[in-house]
Amino acid sequence: MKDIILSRRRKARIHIFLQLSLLIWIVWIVNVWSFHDTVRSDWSRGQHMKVTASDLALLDALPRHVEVLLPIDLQPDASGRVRWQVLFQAMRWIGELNRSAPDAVSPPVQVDVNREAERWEILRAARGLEADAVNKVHLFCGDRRLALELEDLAIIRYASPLEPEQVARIVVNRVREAIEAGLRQVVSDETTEIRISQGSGEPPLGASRGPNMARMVQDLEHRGARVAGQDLMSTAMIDSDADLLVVVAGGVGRFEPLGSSARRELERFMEAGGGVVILLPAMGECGLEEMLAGAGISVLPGLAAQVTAVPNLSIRPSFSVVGERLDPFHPITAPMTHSKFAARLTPSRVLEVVQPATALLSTGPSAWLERELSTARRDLHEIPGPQVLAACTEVGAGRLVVIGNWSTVLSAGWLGDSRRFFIACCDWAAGRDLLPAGAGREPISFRIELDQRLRRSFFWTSIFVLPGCSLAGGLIVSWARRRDR
Amino acid sequence: MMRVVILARRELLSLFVSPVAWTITFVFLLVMGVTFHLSLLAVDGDLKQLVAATYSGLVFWFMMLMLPPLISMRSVAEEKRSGSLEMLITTGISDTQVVVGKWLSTWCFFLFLWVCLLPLWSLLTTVGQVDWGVLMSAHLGVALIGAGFCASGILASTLTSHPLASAGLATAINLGLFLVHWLSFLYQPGDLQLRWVEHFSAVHHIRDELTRGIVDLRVIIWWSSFTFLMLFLSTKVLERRRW
Repeated sequence: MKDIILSRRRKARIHIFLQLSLLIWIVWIVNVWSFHDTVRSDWSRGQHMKVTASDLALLDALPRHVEVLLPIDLQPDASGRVRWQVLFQAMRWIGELNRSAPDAVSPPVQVDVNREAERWEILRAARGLEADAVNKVHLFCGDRRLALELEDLAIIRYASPLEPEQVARIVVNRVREAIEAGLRQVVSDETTEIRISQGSGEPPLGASRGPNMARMVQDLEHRGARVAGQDLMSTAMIDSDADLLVVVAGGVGRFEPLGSSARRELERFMEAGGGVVILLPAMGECGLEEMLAGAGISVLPGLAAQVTAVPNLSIRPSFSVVGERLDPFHPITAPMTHSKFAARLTPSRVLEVVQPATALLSTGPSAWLERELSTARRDLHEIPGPQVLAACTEVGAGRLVVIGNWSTVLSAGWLGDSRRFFIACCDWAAGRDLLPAGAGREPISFRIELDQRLRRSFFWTSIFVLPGCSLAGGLIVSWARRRDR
Repeated sequence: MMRVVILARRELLSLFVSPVAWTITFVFLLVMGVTFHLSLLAVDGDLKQLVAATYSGLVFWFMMLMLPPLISMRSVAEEKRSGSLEMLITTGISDTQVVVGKWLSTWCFFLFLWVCLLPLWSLLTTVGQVDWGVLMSAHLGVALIGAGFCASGILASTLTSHPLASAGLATAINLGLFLVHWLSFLYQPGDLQLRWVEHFSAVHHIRDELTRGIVDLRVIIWWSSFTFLMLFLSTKVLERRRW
């Protein structure tokens, strides 16, 4: 009898062992399967992390593997928190793309520059990044490199001396669009060749002190462009491999108008399909007015003036104008019309546009053309109305953009909507992708106003009412039990 | 199935007539209420961030790790200690039904606690909009991970006849699962090992996915399979007296 029991026990133990092994094996297989072939869905209202068929098509079409680095160094204030949100979303989105196509995009490597200084130095040296290349999404594909700035990923409005009560917030979220365009561009073998006209008076290209264009040059290079100077004034020649020529007709010194030979070279360049962006001087002539008039863009004498708020919290007429009206249909401006656009141009010439040229950027109705340049003061004969600050047209096979202000390209002014507008102009004129495409989307706000009444009612409900209910429930049950006894 | 439901109902009723359930509910609502209120102030009224702040903070994890062992510690251990388990078995109910019934009642009570927080969200909807999708996915995570932790609590309860020892053992199992996440610091992004750590990490599931509205099938499969494994082990431990 004892032997029978012992043999049955032994059998039972073997069965249990087999059952357990089988179950663990099944659990393992199911988890391995789900590890490799999982299904993900985004339940959030905005569905920012939903990988669509077009995203998958883009990832499939990437010819090479892209690596991503995010060095982060942000202040723990309100604006830092908003910036962090944008970068965090970018990191998550790249992570989602990596999950969908691990062979196309690597998972993002995030480095906290302050906490992981040593690691950052190693990565920086390995990737050849500058010390200030932080708070950007760096995309690497072989030797090619591209950096997406925060301003490319989202439009953020910060508190300012004029609007101190405004909390930093995301106005337009373009994380997905920017990363999509960045991926497309970083794997491309084509490089946009940009030449900056370096004539008399123009800010020096290589300088890093005083009025310079270092930030613009760096920004364009991070977008995959190759930027070099072009002595148009003395040689009257444009490189044959140039896609775009930027004429900064104004500057730190006395600007001498371009001569007829330079003008002819520009016309030849555009006829051959090149793009030209002309930034007009605040005063005097750039020597190209006749050519521009022939293309339908006339430069009016005087400057645009507007009654604007200035940083000492007063409001007065000045030559600082805000370009806020955009052509809703032109490819340069159409993606920008979804948000409140405000490109401050100080100072700016006024353009008169006739067909076939298109007015790209205009002021609001309160601006006027001030012909008296000593002071901005609206006289009766100066009728206010939208003043055109930038225009474009096609000349032959090439493209021409004229902007009434030249100081946008200076490092001090290279920010916000004016920078975005300038890069979009370069993008269109060169016929290449320099800027992330797409308009982005306005984020859905889930923020509530925490007024005193709400705070009070929420405080009472969360700390007293709900726990009080459970306490009351417990007391009632206890009383009922005592009564039943 | 019917027996499982009857047993679970009986367990739930016995839980609610005892002061333990009400004390746990009171403490839970008080602590989570304070957390909720402070989080709302910290995120400056951003309800989307509030979900992440409330459902992935330190207090949340304390509740997730401690509540299931406390709720489940008496379920089998107390029956074994008092000898009522034998009496229960003689009613014709199988070991599997006992385990599943007790787990179901524990899990239901655990869910009841989290559902009690929903009135706070409802209050916020009167003044703003809540991303219900994200809230649903966060609660799905609580339910899934809670199911696993309750199941480990039942397993611990079957292994010992002392409720406190059972609670300690279950907490140790849950803590081990929780600490798996810290292995991720050993690996670099892109490493296969890191992906496996993320596959098992409750912190990763809640913080990086479910409280952001991302629902992944592998999260559901892992926690369901873990729950199933724990319940199977519990059944086998309970059956041990026969062999």
